[in-house]
Amino acid sequence: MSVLNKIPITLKIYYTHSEHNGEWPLCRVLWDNKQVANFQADGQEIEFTVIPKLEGTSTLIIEHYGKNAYTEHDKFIEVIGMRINNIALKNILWESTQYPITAPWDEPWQEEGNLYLGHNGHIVWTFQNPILFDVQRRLGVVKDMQEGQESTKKVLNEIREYFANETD
Amino acid sequence: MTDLLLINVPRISLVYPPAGTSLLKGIAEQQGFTCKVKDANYELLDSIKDTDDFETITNYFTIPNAEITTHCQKIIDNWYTDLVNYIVKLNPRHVGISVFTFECQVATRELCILLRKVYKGKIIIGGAGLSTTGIATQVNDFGNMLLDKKLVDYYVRGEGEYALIDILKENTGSGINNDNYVQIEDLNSLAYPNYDDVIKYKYHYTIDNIQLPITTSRGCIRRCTFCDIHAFWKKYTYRSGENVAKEMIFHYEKYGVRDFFFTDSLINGNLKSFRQLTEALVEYYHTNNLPDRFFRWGGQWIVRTEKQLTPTDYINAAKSGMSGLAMGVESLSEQVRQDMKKGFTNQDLDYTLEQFRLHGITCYFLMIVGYPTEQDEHHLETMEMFTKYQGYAIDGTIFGVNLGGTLSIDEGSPLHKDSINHGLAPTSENEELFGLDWTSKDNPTLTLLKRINRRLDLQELLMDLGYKIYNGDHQLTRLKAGYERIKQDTYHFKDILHS
Repeated sequence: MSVLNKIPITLKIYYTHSEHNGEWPLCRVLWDNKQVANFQADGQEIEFTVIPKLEGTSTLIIEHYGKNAYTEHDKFIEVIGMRINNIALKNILWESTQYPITAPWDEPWQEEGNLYLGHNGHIVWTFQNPILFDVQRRLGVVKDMQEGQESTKKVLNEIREYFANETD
Repeated sequence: MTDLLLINVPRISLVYPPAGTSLLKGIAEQQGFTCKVKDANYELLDSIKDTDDFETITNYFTIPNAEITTHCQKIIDNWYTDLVNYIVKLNPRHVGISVFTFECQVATRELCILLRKVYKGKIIIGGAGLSTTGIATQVNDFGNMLLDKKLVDYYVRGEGEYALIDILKENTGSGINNDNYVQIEDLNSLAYPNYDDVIKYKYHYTIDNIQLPITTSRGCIRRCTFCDIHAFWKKYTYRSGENVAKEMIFHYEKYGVRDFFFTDSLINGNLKSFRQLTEALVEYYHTNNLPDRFFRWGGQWIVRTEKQLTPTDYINAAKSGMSGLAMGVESLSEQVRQDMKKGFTNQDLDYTLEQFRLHGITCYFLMIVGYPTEQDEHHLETMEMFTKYQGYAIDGTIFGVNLGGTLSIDEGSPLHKDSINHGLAPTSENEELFGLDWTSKDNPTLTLLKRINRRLDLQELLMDLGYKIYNGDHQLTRLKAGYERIKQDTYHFKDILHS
């Protein structure tokens, strides 16, 4: 795991949004609770780079804010795709939770896999670190190896130890 | 009376039925002879459930003077007895033993000794394992040894399709007890393999379904400096795409098989044939209301330019079911690949990988660490490029990497044949240039130890980056054993020949 926390990763979020009707939707993106982007949603994508952590979890939050619920009924943003280092997150996109900001007199609610932010509110994605291994696992692309095809750190380290004592 | 019994002996892979014997059965039957195939390799190895026994028995067949337990020796003795009894009972006119690699030599020799005592028919051997040192070498040590000792009646060098028929017709000819074999040019005229005798076996398929091998070409269009293939197959010969598609459809309609592995050195050597194949398969799916990717097929792939293979070609290939390709990338340093005469640029590789990703085609990298011209900066460049390509490993486009056991110089390869111009020499003046035992006068600091350390560094990095490394444990163990044998001066060509 020596190199994984040294290589920056680039996240790209693809979105669609309401038509311009006086103002564009406003959005913030937080990575591990630090703001990495703050923008008006007048395009199709937003990209930013972060240094991943080696352990624990990381969270990605996309927040829709500044909507006047009384006068701007049609304002929305919808996440339609996401890539990490150009890897399409496919099924992982829907492994998220939306937390809309509701009126004080309404019951608060949350919804899994809803990428349409019609309210002010935010969507959270959680990743285990190293994040790229988590993505690899959740994409389901890792194939089992047959017996005899394995490569283990144990053997690698044993062989390295043997050759460390060798000289030309 | 059966004209011909073809036998596979240990040790060969169990991942799918052996291609050669079933192909020869098809050829023999096409010529009006009766033929049976017996995969005795499968029958023995699949029956061994204990992993320690399995290792002991495979070592017995593949490693000279390997130790064997009494229990395992009994298993092997019983297997020989059953096999000989089967042959005597069937009493075919000819027995043909497939010596697929040098790792089949122990079983072949023992079987011939036992057969000579009780079997009166003719014994034929053939296959790349007639030479202990590789398919390309002209040293036919094993074939000549068995013929000299009268343990066999015939050995067949080169491709066996015509030679075997000549033997059955009691003729002599090219490649029969001589090394003057002639390469077959019209592969379209050959019969399809007949897998009737082996389709019942539960091979250890790498996928969940039955997979059959298909051979669509022989030889290679490129002339990579480290590769010995041209010494064996002088020309690149290939079947038409329609002919290959018909064979796949034939096996599907006969056996229900939808997964195929192409045994060729490359499946996109002739682009016209490649396009014919993908188009014929897609047309078959459409005509029969089958979904795209109904078959799944893959093999070895060479990187092409965008001009040679367009995005449309990749779309068709994906629809036809192509995936799981093994690519001889060898190095991610463009300079080193140029020295190897690999014939593609980083731009070509970038393009290929992106097309694979776009169309859901997976691939596997075959690498060579420690090419004679590889400097430290080239090694670092390879590591940087793997870091750049990490995303393809994470999303499964690159499903695995085989780092190999560092560069081995094989007889028959341009590096070996033209070793003086390549500045290569054995480490000891008294030895032949062979395998891992070489030095480069142009790159004298690239010692075997340095090559091994680069190999270790690269594996560690790739494992950290999330690449799946195949066969690493086995390769590193063998690498250490090879290094020790070089130090002990027991590594060389002369140490392994049957003469």
